[in-house]
Amino acid sequence: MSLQFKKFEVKTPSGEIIFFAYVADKEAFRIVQDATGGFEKIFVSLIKGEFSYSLYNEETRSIEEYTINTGDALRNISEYIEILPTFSHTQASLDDAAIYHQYSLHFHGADYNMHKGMEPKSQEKVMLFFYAIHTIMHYSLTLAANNPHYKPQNFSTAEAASIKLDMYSTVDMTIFKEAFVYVLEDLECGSARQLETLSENIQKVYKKLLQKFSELSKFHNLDLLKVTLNGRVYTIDDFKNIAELSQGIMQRPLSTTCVIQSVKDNYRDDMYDALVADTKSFSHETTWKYEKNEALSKFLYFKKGEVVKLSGMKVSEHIRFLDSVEFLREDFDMTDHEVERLQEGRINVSTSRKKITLSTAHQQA
Amino acid sequence: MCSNIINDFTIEHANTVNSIGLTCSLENTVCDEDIRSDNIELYINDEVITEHMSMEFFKDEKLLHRDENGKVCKVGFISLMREHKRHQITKKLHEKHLQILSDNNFKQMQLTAILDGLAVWPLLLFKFETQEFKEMWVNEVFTYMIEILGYNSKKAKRLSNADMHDIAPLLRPQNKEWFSNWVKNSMALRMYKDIR
Repeated sequence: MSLQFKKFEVKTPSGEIIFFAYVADKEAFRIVQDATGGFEKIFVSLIKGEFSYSLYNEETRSIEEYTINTGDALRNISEYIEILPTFSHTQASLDDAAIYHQYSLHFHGADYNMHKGMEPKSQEKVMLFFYAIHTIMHYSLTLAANNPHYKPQNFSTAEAASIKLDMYSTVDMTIFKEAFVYVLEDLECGSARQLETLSENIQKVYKKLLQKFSELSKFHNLDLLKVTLNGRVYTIDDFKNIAELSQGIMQRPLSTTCVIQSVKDNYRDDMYDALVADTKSFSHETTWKYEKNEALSKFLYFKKGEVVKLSGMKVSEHIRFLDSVEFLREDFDMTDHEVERLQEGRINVSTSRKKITLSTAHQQA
Repeated sequence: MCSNIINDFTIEHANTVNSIGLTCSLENTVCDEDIRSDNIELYINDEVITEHMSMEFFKDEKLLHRDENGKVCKVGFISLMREHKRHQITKKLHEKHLQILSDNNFKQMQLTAILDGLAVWPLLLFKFETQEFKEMWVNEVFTYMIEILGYNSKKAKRLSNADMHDIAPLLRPQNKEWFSNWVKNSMALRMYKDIR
């Protein structure tokens, strides 16, 4: 069940905002504005039931001490609002807030259990994944033509026991949620729908989400992920299948002529090396990933400046996977030693010795 | 027994400031082994100037924000009659208190700032007992700067968090209501000051 947020505001008598926060309970809150820079301390002690104050009683000339601790964060705030006029000129209010639950991600597995000691690297991966989905959520807002520059207030809540993360926002992200539902339904049934049936905007968000979810196959010890969306819980546990599903949808064949510029080891991930190439007019650099292969990387390193035809799969605007390299210089040739080393590295060399093909090359239709 | 913690003469000495002709008398002294409390009447030229004033002396009290016990003086309200306010009497009296308490091995002064004290004690370098008390004070000063001094939010934020010596003159403007008059009578903030 998603949390019900309230809007807590403290103002001067003329309406200048001193403090503004959304709050649901002592753990789920987002501070939007803190004009003095220190009201947060009062707020946090208030919702935790630790706020103490003193009042001077003029009649008895005595100081009376109080602590607000009703056992409930919102009731504590209400009590504070009630007593505030007795000692302060400021005014406070607590009102219903239109805050929309966007999604929850609940990770289950040995590395994600606080009681057994959460694995820091896995925890970091989870957080990055959570905020990557958040970025896609924001992207979906830019697709809505009526308010492309509107920036909603977003905030997350976390339940650390087994890493459950919730994302809330002041705007209901309808395009994002519709696309997300399609992705989750497809992941549950294990096959992708015909994307042509979806609107262009939904397709864009769908692809981004699917691509992000395909990364889950690299998470260690992840047994299952429960995603809550529009009140429904989707359970995902076949992460390898997501990667395959994603490949099938995202990748399309690509072939281009360019000049080899350089080779990168451990490109963004210790699983990959990459070839950096440029168009012949040196105006558009592209990077072609391939599974780590020392023989191939060394070979390509010494072929800098060669004009080549690169073939492979384009996964997204910036990600390409290399399948083959064809050298276009007429008198290009490889030495026997080079051919030998490449073959040892499971690289196929054509009989003309002008084209090499990776053993991991994708089957093109 | 009353001399156990501090004797009458020393308290009288602490509340005597020759430069302004300030003298005192002790009333309703109550003592036990660990605590002594006195109501004090202050005089200038034999005329009573206090509405109410009290001090308590503790032999072995937990010191705020320090991991030790020691002699503590808790100042009750120092309420001066209207015509004697704003003559820096409290400031001069406090300087004398510090000197005498230090000579008698007191480690800390503690008090609850109310009314005028909300402007006076912070200026005399008393610290707020908790961050929440400090922020409540900053909050009121911020509101005062916006509502009475007419500052914008940015300026009020900068100045309400500034050094007390910079804030103090702003709380006593010439043609506007003073902070100490404006602040709500019920506001009470606990403060302390270490004695070196």
